[in-house]
Amino acid sequence: MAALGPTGRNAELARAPLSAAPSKRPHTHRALRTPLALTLLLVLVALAAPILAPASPIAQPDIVAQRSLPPSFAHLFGTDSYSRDVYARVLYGARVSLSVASLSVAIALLLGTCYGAIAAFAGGTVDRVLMRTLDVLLALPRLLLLLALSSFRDEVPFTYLVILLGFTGWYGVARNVRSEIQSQLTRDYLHAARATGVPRIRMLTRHILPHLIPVLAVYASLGVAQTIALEAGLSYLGFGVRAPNPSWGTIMHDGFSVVRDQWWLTVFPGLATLLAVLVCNWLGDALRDAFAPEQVPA
Amino acid sequence: MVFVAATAASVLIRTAPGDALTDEGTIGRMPAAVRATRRVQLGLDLPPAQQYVRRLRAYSRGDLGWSTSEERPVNEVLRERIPRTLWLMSLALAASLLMGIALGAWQGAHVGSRGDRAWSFVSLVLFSFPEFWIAIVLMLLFASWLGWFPTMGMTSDIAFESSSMRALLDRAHHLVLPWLSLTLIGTAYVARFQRAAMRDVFGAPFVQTARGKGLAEAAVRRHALRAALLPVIALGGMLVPSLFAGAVFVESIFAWPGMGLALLNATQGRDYDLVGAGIIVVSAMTVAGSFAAELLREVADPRTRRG
Amino acid sequence: MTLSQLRSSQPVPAVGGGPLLNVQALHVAFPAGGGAIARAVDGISFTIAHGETVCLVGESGCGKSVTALSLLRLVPSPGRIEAGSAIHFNGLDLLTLPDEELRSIRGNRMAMIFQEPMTALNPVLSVGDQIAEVVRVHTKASRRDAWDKAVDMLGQVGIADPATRAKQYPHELSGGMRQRVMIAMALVLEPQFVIADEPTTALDVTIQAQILELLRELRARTGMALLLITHDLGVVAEMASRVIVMYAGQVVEEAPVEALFANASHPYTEGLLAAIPRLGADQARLTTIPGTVPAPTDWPTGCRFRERCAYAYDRCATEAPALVQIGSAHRVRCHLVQEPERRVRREPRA
Repeated sequence: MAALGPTGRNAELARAPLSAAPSKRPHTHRALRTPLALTLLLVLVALAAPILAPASPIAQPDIVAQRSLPPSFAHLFGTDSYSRDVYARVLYGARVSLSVASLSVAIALLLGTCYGAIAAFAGGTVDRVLMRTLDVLLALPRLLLLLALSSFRDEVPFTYLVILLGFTGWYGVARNVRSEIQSQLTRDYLHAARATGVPRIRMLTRHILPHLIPVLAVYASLGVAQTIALEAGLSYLGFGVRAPNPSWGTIMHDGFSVVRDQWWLTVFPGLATLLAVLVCNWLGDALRDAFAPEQVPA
Repeated sequence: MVFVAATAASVLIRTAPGDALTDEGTIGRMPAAVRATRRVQLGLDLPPAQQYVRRLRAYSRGDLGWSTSEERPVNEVLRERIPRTLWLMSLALAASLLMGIALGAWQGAHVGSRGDRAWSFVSLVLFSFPEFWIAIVLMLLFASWLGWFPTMGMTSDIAFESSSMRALLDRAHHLVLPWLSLTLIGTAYVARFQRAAMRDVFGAPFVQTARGKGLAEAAVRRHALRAALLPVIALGGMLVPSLFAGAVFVESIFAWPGMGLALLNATQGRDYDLVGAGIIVVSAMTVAGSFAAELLREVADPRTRRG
Repeated sequence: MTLSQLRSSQPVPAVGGGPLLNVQALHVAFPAGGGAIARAVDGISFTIAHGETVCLVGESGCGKSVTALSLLRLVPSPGRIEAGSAIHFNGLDLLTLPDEELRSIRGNRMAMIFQEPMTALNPVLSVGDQIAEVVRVHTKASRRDAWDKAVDMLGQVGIADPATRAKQYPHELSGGMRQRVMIAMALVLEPQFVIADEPTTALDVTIQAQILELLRELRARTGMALLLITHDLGVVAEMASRVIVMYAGQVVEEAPVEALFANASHPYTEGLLAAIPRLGADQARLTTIPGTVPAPTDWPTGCRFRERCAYAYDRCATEAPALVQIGSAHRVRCHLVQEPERRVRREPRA
């Protein structure tokens, strides 16, 4: 399910490697090259939208003669009911969708890491309370909450959406980070470090943080994928970013009522969403495999 | 315990923002006077704290409020809609688990083969489909263009006049595309998970022992599968929230009158009672699901079974 | 009777000639990234007679486990046994045997006791089930009979209250008991040949002694041949009638056990024996063999041991030594056999 609630996704993300020593430099893995390249390509396309799309995404050149045209050479993806070029809208929409997803995942990672780290380091009752709270939060349906909270505004501004998504998506990260730190804390090398007088801060940054990188990296990619899809879904239902440029979901929302006749309004943005999610998922998978602990041959 | 906590939390969350906007801006066509009377009727003119207390009291009585978007008691709405969505979700869950486990187990036992790589790719693609989009695509393809399935609704108009058998078939006919949208993605999800679990298990030493004992490959695979099923069982319970999210989208696209669609309309119409009740219900389902999964897993795994 | 003869459960080789196991030129290759091939086992030949106990000795990474796995064709892919290798068991060519027949040999006439019993046993099945399974797969025994046989076998390997234990799961048993279960599983059908891969490594010393005693008992009772893989010379001293020493994928020395301990010829074996600490010896430091085992992708030219050898000279770098007979059953792979005058201690280039 591309738009998984945090509980469901935990299964996928829970398989992010725990306690994997980052022994291999990830970029030497051949399997990572393709997804990494594709991800970069995706970002580049989004950034280069003005170059790749001759038309403007918001201009309405001829609302009578050029509205609702099917795909043609002049308009690769057709035009919508306001005679806006869909191709341009999709390309510019990449920026919106990608930035919403990345920013909210960044927030989620930050929140989740702090929460998980506090729980892991504090231990005892603090840990238990934090985890119980997390369980309660995990039980709440993410989509419903997002819908409910977005319905208060007629227009959902960019920052609001980013914050909403970020603040509802950190639960899995918190759990994983906590497990990872906990497992590291019991390791002998930390006892050794403490025994030789290494200060705790240094222990944290030099010893423990490197172990968090695999978890966070996998989470980041899979999380971005999931968020792109979720944001698209929300926008599609009408609670999305509108101005200045729409996200892919919003473009599809505009085209919903005429989906049968003007299929190009929903198919192309949807295809773009699919490709973006696919690339990020692929990257996440490849990262997870790259960071997986070595299999010892018999 | 967790259920009680979840309920409390959801009530809290839903009431806090809900009370902030007591003006039902969407019912703008109502004349001001009528609106005022309605407000008093629904108790929305009272201060937030009092409303909250009232609501809690109502909940303890089992009265979940009044749905303004449907103009009937929330309990009625739930009673009518929940079974439908549960039906859809359960069918999708069952199918996803069955097919996903089968596919994933096969893949895990044949890691690296062409079949495995092909299916992995297919799974990845399916898994990356946004739920609502796959529903749209399916609808366009099979309902609009090919006309094999109806494009919306749960039943056709003829249903009332037909025999029960035909009515049943008609319902099934309407169920196929929504169910397929959920199942395709669900299967991909389960298959990915099962493949990984199976692969881990297949590399474990006891698989080699099994071969060394002279077991046929099929028997070896069965050995591995028994151990690999454990994590997937737990997964089943965790699919509930995502299935519900998917159901919301799917129901909206196919105009399938289930719980998801009702809640969607409720949020758009600022029907807070229904939304609040919905959150509680879905949270309860989620908790029940993961609880059941954990229980099943504990029973199945001899390491955690007591005695 | 010599010690080695005593250790054979059949002091006189069975008439009807022919060794029980005959391995010739075994090569096992693994792909090693970037198209390179690593030969974990590079041309090993040895035989095992009926009822004989042979110990295969070497450090980790020398290829002994892979050798053992090849005997049952259990080498994990992508590794594979290369063409030109030959393994004959009782006259049967194991490498060309069809899968069905190979299956019927595994666990039945030739069995393996694996390392690490915690991970080598299926965690979700009871130990009784796992032993009974061997019986059911190879004989027509009913579930009841197979279970009874399993319980009986558990008793024979020295587990108290076998009927109750059989219903338990691997995680409920101690390390020593799990190893006994592995032994029971391997021996329940009284195979002619048993391979034991480091059966005592994961256990503490007192349990080790018990396990070895158990193996001796079973050996005496069933007359089975035993290939015992270990890195522990103490185990060798206790169990072997013949010893094969492996290094970097090759056999470097092969001798009856007394000859090995009294007359070790290869510098590596010498080093292994010297490394055993002795009570009462006046040693300031323990003797070690400097350096580490080279990776299969990185073998030195000429003799593979020369970089750690105390006696290496110029011939060792240019010419790889062949396995040469020096006694009635004693073979060594070293140039010093032909040029004993070169046996001068020098600083090894470690």
